[in-house]
Amino acid sequence: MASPLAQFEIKKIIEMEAFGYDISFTNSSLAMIMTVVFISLFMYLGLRNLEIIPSKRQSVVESSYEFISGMIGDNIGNEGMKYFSFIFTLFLFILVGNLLGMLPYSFTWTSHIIVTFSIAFFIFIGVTLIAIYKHGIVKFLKFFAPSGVPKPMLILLVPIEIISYLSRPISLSVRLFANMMAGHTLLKVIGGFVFVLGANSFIVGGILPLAFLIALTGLEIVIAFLQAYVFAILTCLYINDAIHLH
Amino acid sequence: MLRYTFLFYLLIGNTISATEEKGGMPQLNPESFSSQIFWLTLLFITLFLINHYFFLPKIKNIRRKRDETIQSYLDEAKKLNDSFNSLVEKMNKEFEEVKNEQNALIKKTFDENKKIFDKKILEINNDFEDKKNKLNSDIDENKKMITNELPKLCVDLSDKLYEKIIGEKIKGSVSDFKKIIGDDK
Repeated sequence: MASPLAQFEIKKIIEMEAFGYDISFTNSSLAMIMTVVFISLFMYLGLRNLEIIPSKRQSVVESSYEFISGMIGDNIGNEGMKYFSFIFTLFLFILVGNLLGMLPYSFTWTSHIIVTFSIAFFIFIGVTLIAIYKHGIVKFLKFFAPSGVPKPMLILLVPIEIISYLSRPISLSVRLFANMMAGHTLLKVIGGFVFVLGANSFIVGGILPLAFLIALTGLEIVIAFLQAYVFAILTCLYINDAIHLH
Repeated sequence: MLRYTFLFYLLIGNTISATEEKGGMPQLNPESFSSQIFWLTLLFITLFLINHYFFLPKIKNIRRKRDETIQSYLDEAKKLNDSFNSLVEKMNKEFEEVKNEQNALIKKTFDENKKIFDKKILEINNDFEDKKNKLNSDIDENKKMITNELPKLCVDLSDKLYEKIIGEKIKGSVSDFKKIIGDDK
């Protein structure tokens, strides 16, 4: 039995290199491709025979569309619809990545900080550019100095605001990565208990940790959805901040 | 059983030491970073493009079409409702016209009949009055005749009675009779 962290190991399947960088096709890339294929299949099957009165499959796809459009409408407003495709793709990509990771012998690519950080950093840069493009650099910088605050307080507040702004990509990425990694590690440890206790007590001892494992799997599936939702909704909030600059 | 447990621990021990040798969390191993970033960028952009240019426009279209269909049904229903309302209005108007016409007809007939009735009543009254007058004049005439004729008849009757009782024929006159009854003025 492997270490609980062994499941996160990146294994090269096909070695590749470009411009001196390693771009090998790994188990993580395979899981990502599976995610893209799964989402495309889900969308393709749902939208194959489009009808005004939707079929069950079409309803599922349309309800995911409505879910995201509702989220954007509530958090950004109509101006946010420009970013619909991005948020929709982001949500489904993370959700399906999380859920496929729950399958035995699969790989959870969202449990890698470099992946979540890349996405979060891209969002951070994008949101900052949107804010500067929409309001100009001066107005954007005023964002760090809230209006109506006494001037001496600004000495304290501005650094806090800047740090909180800069920590956005970190908090966004660490939240997803840590949740996924912790969940999968826990499942692996409990799974180890089932095996060890069962082997030492003629199977009977394994029943309790097995029940616990099943319950935890359910919880992990909920967390998989929740983390994708949180990631998408925070992205919406950051875009809203960039558009409206309160 | 013990043998299997021993084997199991051996396996765990080996793998854990193997991971430890590599240096703990695989997430923090920078060797795989470039590959992961590359594939993430490639696949995310691919999925974004597929969604943005292929799937999402389809959903948008069908939703727009559905909204349009619902709107067209609503419009049609509104149109039908309007035409129904106008028909009801028209019907009510016609009904009102017919009612008025009927009332006018009834009134006209009533008036005409009343006129005829009044005329008849008048005629009957006149006729009655005529007859009454004629009867009265007849009665007066008869009365006059009786008044004129009565003395003569009385005289004749008394003559006859006298003749029957006495057996002697006399010839009385009206003036004598009037003298007797004291009506000779």
